[in-house]
Amino acid sequence: MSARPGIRFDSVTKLFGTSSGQAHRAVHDVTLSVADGEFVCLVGPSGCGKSTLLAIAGGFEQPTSGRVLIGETEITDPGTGAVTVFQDYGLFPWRTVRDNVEYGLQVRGVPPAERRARALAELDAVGLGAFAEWHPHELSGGMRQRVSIARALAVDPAVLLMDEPFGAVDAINRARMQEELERLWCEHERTVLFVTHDVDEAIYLADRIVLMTPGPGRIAEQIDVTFSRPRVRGSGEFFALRSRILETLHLAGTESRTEFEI
Amino acid sequence: MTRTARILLPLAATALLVTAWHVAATRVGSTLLFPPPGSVVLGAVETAAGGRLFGHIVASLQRFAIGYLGGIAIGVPLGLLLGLSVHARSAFDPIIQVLRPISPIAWFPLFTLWFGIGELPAIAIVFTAAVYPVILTTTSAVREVDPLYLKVARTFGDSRAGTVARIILPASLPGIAVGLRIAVGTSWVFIVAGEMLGVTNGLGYLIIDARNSLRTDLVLVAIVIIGALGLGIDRALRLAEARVRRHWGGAA
Ligand SMILES: Nc1ncnc2c1ncn2[C@@H]1O[C@H](COP(=O)(O)OP(=O)(O)O)[C@@H](O)[C@H]1O
Ligand SMILES: [Mg+2]
Repeated sequence: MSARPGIRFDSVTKLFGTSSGQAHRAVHDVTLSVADGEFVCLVGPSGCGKSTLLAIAGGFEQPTSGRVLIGETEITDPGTGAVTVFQDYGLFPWRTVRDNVEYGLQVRGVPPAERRARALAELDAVGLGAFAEWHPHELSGGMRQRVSIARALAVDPAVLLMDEPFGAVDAINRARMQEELERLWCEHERTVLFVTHDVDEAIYLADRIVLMTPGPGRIAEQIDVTFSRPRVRGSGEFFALRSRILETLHLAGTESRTEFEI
Repeated sequence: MTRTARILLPLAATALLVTAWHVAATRVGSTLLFPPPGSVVLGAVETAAGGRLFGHIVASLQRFAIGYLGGIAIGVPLGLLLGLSVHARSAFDPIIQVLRPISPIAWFPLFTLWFGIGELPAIAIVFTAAVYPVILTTTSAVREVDPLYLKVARTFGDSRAGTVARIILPASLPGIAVGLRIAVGTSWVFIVAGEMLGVTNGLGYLIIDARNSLRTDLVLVAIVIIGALGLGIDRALRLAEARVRRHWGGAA
């Protein structure tokens, strides 16, 4: 795999205008580097600016000050480096599953035969090869999100951005989705920036967990998760790390523990 | 409702109506003023036998098809433009809103001056009746495209033209299909009016011609056929619309 740049947030601050006319500080002075092939989870209570940071990385929002770089390229628009996977999938209902996965390749001008082969390969990788000619509405939520991940991976993005991608999937399937995502990631070591408010999800997936706290949204602490993959959810080290994270967030934030899904 | 009831109820209601019609016409006692169902059937058989009725139907359907398809050919692109561009919308929306409530009949004098007496004014009336609903439904279908689809297009770096062709157009197709069906109803109504002047065939002409020769039974023949064809066209488009909807699937 060729060396790729990863993604870097350089003193990013984001203010939103409010109806009262006062600027609302959603993100304050965030500096963060995600190395090539690294899986980083942003974790924190709702309102701490996770989605805002991801939207800036995806080019959908502009920082008020600071910048986001992939290599030497500053992100000013979507479609310039990172590909975002959305919580509600965003699959096109009029296209078959395979045509959905081909979409990004079509945009990039890949010829039909190659497009088809690559889409089928990505679908096989997420275990949906048999559903290539189905339509999205015939699939379960978890399967739809796998299609949407396959669609993103098909274009081999420099950075994959995911904002609570399993938030709309039921708890049992969510665990399966996490396992599949980790397996996919282990095969290819893509650079992933993943937003979640589920601490267990973050511990299961991340190389590094970035804890954020609200008011204004900023980084409270960064924790490297060093134990080996695939991780065992009931293990002692898993449990110890979870306690530590919850405590940090509890001490740092004003939000109560009930904000978290455990 | 059971299947039998679904078939029997409308049949029973129709039989009741025809009976009432027959009784009322017999009371009136004048075939000219109020022809009974029997003489309407005979009149239909008479015109059908000479092949003239079929000719009238074909003439009306042809004019209607040209006017209606013309309305789609102009209305869909215009609706797309208005849906896509805020500027186009703010420029043209007031004009469309003023023109839309004007009955196509009001244009008839001008249409005959511009296009001469003959086919074109009738076609232009159908066109005028079809084009506004097509424009309006296409515009709102484009504006109602799920913003998430557009975010997906942006994250994959799709161009403006690519997004229109690959996302906006297919995403608004179900909405456009609804517009096409609404337009078929509104414009079919006007084919008759369009054919009442300056043409020598078609169902509208048949009505005027029958009145001039005091054949009110044939007036009713034309009326019944217009209704039946309108229903048939509407049903065909409903089927097409349902197909689009089914193929497009639920929101995903
Ligand atoms: N478009 C917006 N306009 C105004 N305020 C916003 C906007 N988007 C987010 N915010 C505010 O910014 C803060 C961070 O939001 P968000 O990034 O969505 O948090 P999270 O994803 O961590 O829940 C919140 O207080 C939210 O209300
Ligand atoms: Mg969020």
